[in-house]
Amino acid sequence: MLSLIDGKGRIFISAVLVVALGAVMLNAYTPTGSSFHVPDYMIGLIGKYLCYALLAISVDLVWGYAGILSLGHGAFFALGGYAMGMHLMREIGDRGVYGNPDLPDFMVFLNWQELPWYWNGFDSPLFAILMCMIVPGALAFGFGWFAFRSRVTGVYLSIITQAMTFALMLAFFRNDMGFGGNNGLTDFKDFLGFDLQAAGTRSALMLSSAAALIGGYLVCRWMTMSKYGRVLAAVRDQESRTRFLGYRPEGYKLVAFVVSAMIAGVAGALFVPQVGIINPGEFSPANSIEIIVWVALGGRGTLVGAALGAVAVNYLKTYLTGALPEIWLFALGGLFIAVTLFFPKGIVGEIGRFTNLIKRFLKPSLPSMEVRND
Amino acid sequence: MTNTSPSLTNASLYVSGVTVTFDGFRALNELSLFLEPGELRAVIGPNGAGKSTMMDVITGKTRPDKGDVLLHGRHDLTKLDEAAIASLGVGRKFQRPTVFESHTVFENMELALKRDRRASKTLFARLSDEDRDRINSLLNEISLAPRANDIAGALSHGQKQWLEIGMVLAQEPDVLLIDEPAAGMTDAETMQTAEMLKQISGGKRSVVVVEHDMEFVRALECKVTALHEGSVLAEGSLDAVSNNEDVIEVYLGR
Repeated sequence: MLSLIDGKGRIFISAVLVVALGAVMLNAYTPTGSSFHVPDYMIGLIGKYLCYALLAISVDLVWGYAGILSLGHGAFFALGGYAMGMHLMREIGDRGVYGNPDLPDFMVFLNWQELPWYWNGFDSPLFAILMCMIVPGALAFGFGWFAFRSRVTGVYLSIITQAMTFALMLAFFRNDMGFGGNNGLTDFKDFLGFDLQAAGTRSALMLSSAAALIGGYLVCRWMTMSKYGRVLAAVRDQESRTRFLGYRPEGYKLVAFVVSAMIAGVAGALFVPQVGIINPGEFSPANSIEIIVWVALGGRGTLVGAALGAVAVNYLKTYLTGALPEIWLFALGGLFIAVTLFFPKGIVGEIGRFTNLIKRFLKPSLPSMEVRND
Repeated sequence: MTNTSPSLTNASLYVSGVTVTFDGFRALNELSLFLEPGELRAVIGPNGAGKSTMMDVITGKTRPDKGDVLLHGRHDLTKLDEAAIASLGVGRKFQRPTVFESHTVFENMELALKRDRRASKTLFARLSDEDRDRINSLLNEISLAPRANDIAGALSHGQKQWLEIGMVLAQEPDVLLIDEPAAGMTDAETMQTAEMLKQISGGKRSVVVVEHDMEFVRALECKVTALHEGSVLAEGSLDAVSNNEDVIEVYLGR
C-alpha cells in the first residue's frame, strides 16, 4: 500500500482535503461579511472543479496509460449525469409546475400519459447511483468490445469515440427519447430529502466530490501500479509485441476503458446536483476535446497532472468567460498549441523533469553502470 | 507433399504447402519446412524471399491461403491468434529490437515471464521470490544483470537485441523464431550472439534463425534452409547450400 501513494500523490490528496475541508469550514463558521468567508456559490464552484478533476483522471487512465485517445469521454460523464438527473426529477414529485405526482414536467408538457419503462427504478437513489456507473460502463464495454477486437486504434478510434458522443447528443436532443430533449433535466429540488440550495447540502456534495476524486485517483493509481498497469503501458507503446508475448491487448484496453467510463459517470453524477442541470450540450464533441486539453496541460500519464490541468483550465475559463468572454476559445486553443509545442509532458511532467535535474545536480555523480560486453 | 517428410508427431514445427498471397503477389509459394525437436536451423534468402512472411504465418499474424502449420503435430496454428500461439510456446524475436522502452529491463522480463496473461489475473499478480530469482538468472545469461533497473530505452542496440532474446527465453518456449539477431551488432557481439543461440537451443528447444550475415550463419554450425520467391531452394549444410547451383544463381545473378 505504501508504494501506492508517492510524493506527488501525498501532495495531491493533502491539497484536495485542505481545500475541500477548509472551504467548508470557512463557509460555515465565518460571518458572511468577513474577508475569510467562502460564499455558497464558491462551494458549488469548487465542487464543480473537483468533478472535472475526476473526469480528467478517468481520461488520463485511458489516454495516458492505455494510449486510447478518447474524444468521447464527455458522453460517459453526461450519461452519469443523466442517471442522477433522472433520480432528482423523480424526487421533485408533485412539486413541479404542473403538480403531477407521476410524471416530470416535460412529460406532462408533451402530453405523455405514463412514465417510459426506462424511468422505472430511478425513484430509488441507490438504483440511480448504481446506474451512474452501470450505464456508462455498459456503453464502454459494448463500444470497446467491438472497437478493440477489430483492432481499431489511433486516430480511427478517436474519430469513432467522437462520433459516439455526437450521436448520443443528437439522440438526447430529441423530445421523444424521454430525457427532456433540448432543455434536459432541471428544476431539481432536493437529494435524499436535503434541499439542494441549502449551504449544508452543497457542502456535503462538494465533500463527496472530493472523496470521489481521491477514491478515483486511488483506483487508477492501484491499477496503473499493478502488473496489469505495466502490461497496459506495454500495449500503449508496442501493442503488437504484447500479442507475441501471449497477451490479448483488447482485454487490457477493455478493462481500462470500462473502469474509466464508470469513473467519468460518477463525476457526472456528482456534477449534476451541484450545477442543477443536465442537458444534451454535455454530449457535445467540444466538451470531450476540452478534457483532452486539461490532461495535456496538466501532464498526460501522471493522474495528478490531469486533475491539476482540469482545475487550472477551468479556473482560467471561469475567469476569462467573465472578464473577456470573446477570447476564451482562442485562449484554450492557444494553450493547447503552446503546451504541445513547449511542454509536451505537461505541468507535472515538466516539474518531474526539473526535480530530476536538480537531484542529479545535487547528488555526487554515480559511477557509470555501463558494462562492456565484449 | 513429398513422402520424405518426417512423421507428423515427430516434428516440433511442421509447415507444409503454405501459400500466402498479398494482392496477387505470392509471398509464400507452397513452402514446406520441418523442424526436429531441439533443432537449430538457419534460414537464409534474399530480400522478399518470404522469410518474414513465414514467421508471420507461424506466429499467427498472417493467415495462409492454404497449407498446414502444426506445432508438435497437435496444434493447428493456422486457426489460432498471436496470443494463443505464444501461449502454446512459440516465441518470436523481431528484426528490429522491440522491447518496451519506457519500462525497466527488469519489468520487460517480468512481462515476458511465463505467467497467466489474463487482465483479471495481472491486476492482482504479485512478483514472487521465485519469479525474481528466475528473472535475475536470465538477466545474467544475457549479460544485462547490471542494467536491471535501467529504462530499456537507454540500452544500446545490441543490448536491446539481447534483452529481447531474454524476454523470449522468459516465455519458456519450445520453438523460437529469431529474426536477424545480429543486425547492427559489432563483430564481437555477433559472435557472442551466435554462442548464445547455440546454448539456447542446446538440443532442448527448436530455434529458427533468419539471417543475412554468412559469418554468423557459419558460427551457428547448423542445417541451413535457403528460401527464394516463397519456397525452399536448397536445404543442407552451409557448404552444401552455398555450393548449390540454384543458390549461386539467385545470389549472384545469372
